[in-house]
Amino acid sequence: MKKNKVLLLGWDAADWKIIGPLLAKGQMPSLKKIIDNGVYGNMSTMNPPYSPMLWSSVATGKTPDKHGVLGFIEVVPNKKVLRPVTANSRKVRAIWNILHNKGYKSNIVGWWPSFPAEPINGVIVTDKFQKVSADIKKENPIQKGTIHPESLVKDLRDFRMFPYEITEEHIIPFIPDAIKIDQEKKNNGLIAFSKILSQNVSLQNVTTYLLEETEWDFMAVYFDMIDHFCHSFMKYYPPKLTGVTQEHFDLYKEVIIGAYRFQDMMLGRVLDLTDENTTIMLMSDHGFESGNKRIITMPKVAAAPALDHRQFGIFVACGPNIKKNEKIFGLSLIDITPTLLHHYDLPIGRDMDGKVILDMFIETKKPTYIESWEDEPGDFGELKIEEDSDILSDEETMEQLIELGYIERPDDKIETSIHKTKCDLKHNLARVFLGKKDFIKSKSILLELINEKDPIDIAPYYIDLMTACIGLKEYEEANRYLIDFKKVKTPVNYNIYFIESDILLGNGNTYKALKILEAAKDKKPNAEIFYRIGNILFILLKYEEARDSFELAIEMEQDRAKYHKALSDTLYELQEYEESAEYAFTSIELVKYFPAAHYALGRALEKLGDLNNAKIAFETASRLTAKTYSYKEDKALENIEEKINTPIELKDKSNYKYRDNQIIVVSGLPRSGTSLMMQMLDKGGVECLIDSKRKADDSNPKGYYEYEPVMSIQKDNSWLVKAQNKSVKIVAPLLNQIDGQYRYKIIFMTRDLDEILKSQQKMIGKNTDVLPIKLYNSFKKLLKFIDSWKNREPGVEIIFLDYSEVLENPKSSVETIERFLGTKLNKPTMINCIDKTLYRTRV
Amino acid sequence: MNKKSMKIDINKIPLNSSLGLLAYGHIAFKAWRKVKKEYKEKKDEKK
Repeated sequence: MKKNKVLLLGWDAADWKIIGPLLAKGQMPSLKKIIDNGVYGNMSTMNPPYSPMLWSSVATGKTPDKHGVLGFIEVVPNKKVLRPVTANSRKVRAIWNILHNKGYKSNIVGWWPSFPAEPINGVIVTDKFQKVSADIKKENPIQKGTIHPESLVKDLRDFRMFPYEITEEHIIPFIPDAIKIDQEKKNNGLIAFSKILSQNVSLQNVTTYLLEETEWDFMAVYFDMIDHFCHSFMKYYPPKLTGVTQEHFDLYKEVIIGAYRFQDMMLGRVLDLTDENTTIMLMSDHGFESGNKRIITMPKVAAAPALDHRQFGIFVACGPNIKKNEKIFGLSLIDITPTLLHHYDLPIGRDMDGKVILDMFIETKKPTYIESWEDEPGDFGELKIEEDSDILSDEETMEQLIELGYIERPDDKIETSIHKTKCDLKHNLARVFLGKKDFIKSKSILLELINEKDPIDIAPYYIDLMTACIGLKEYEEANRYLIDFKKVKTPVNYNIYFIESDILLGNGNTYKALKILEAAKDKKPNAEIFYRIGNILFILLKYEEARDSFELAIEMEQDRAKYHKALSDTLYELQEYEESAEYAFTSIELVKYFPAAHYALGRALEKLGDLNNAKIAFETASRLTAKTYSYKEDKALENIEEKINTPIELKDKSNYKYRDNQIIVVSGLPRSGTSLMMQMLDKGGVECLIDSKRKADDSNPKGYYEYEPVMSIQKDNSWLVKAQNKSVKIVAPLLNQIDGQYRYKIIFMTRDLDEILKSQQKMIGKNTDVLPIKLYNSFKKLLKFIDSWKNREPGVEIIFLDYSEVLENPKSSVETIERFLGTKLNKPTMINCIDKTLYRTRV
Repeated sequence: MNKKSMKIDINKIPLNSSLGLLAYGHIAFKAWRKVKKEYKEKKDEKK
């Protein structure tokens, strides 16, 4: 008997929200057996959540831009024909190809897409095997390429069940009042039901046959029953939705539960046929909406049924080296292939996007890597050349995809259908890049697509284009596309309030952005609106209100990692560090590869004094962030290491040591003594980054010590490289534009606000007796912001020096500065340059 | 989990099958088809 075997079961669209209550009632005993003996967790999906793309990612460990399966259908190369995606659409090696090369035997059943069968060591029963004709009374023949090896066709052909074989006994557990259904009516529920059930029984028959009759190392079986039943019947699942007739609700309300229970019954038999040496993994590629977000009438957009897909699917596993009854976190479907390779002691391709799920193993070993499996020579059991397109045409699959609503019935004009399909595939690729935050690549594809003409609906391209621009912080451009988008004629009513608010926010119109979201919330509240409102309130430093808004978002949707992370950040600002850590941790539980959540956890733990765990959290955050962008994480890690290694207690993160290439920033509100401080540093021996473009005047007779590019730091902060080991003046409102890759020592000048305002009024020739209240409040807010911002920037060390204090006690002030900068200064010269006569505006 | 092979008593298979039977996979499925076939043959004989 072979050891080290893995059985991977795919249950398309299985969702914990349905499974949870069934487990509690003992109605999925087989799944419970795996959970009790193994690990379980959420499986995170990818964007766009289209099953052939997702299952190809499962089988390759790569995102669709790499594996090449970009939708449900494709255009046959060099021919004017459309067909469902095939194994030929996949441009990279699947796990079974790699295992073939290494001498392992695989059985693959029903995988989407796997037709035509690849000549691997083992068996492939492709996704074409179980598909039935549109005419449910007809038995379609088994086409060439459906099964590898061909010699198995004679054994397997009789395992196909056809819809006409479905009996009353099969139907009643799902639809107890099936007798009331008018079968004369076209497209009555029983037709879809019979097709889905019979197809999945065919897959089960092949599965039990291969389990009993063949030797194998790896076996993967894909069932689409839950997904297909959900697409046809989820709208009837309780509670009853408005818009669903009572008659239909009563008839079909038990179909979904029936589907899960039957899937579990089939699992029971599969488990009976596996031995204790087999590792079993069971997963879904996404979840399925079962609450009030269910859509009754699908909008006319490409692959509309996928709008019902939820972000999280399921994952369970048990086996000899799998932990028992433990929840594991942060799984993504691209992790499956790397994990399988690791299980078989094979190296993981560095070009794979997924990671090994090490958390599920009892005994762990270090994963090994190779650059890519694609470059490896040898036999990988691949299809040699693209087979004749006629062989690959697949009417049954096309018909099913049309019935499920994933694709439109091709137009009479095939050219139009082909063109639409090409656009859909390009759009899907753009969405993949959006999901990977590669906004530049996404944008360039979308810019091509918005030039398409009728009958192509370009509205969805505009929506994603604006999202890409927002991701690139190109708000003006996004706004131009928004104006264009509003002129586009589209049959779909798009909600654009998120885009509008993002653009406003990016352009600094915070309150207008908030207003748009508030209006949307009043119209139809949802979790995402509350989350975004919370984000704006956070920016406005209204932390209590932000907390309330995030809590409401979480109440509506508990499994969104970003909501928990946002609440963690807010609680941190409210100095509720314990709760902050808890929410950061929940966020990580949901999505492990979320560096910002690890960072949030690190900050909270640091405040709680748990420095060692904070260090681990910062290390993880740094490791998960691309090296080019991990400055913040790296600096937080340096700080915590200093804290751990320094026996004395430090105030915040300032340890007053000189840092290599540090940038000394003199900041404060205008007229708070920043020029004086620059002058003092200059005299003290610190080189100043200035250009002397602004000349000395009556208000600042000794000069402004300014550097002109600072004024446009929002657009370009690359000049900061020149400021290393120098001092530069950056006024308070621009401080948050500094580049996180450097270390900063900020001397922040404070001064009585009344004095500042009077001095400013005087400088611009205004009445000094009238206090500009708005400006006063705005300065107060800015100072509050700086106070909170400094805590979020691990590269920033700051001291606050009061202007009058510097004038009154120059000696101690200069000593403080010297200590803070960690560098020797010419203190007497610094003190001598202070001219008290210039302290002219006093309150 | 142990590999449990299954023996089917064809006399116990209902003509209309059941969900449980379908879940059991290929052996039960083939047996059910056989039952259906025999039933049909008998029915045809009676005609």
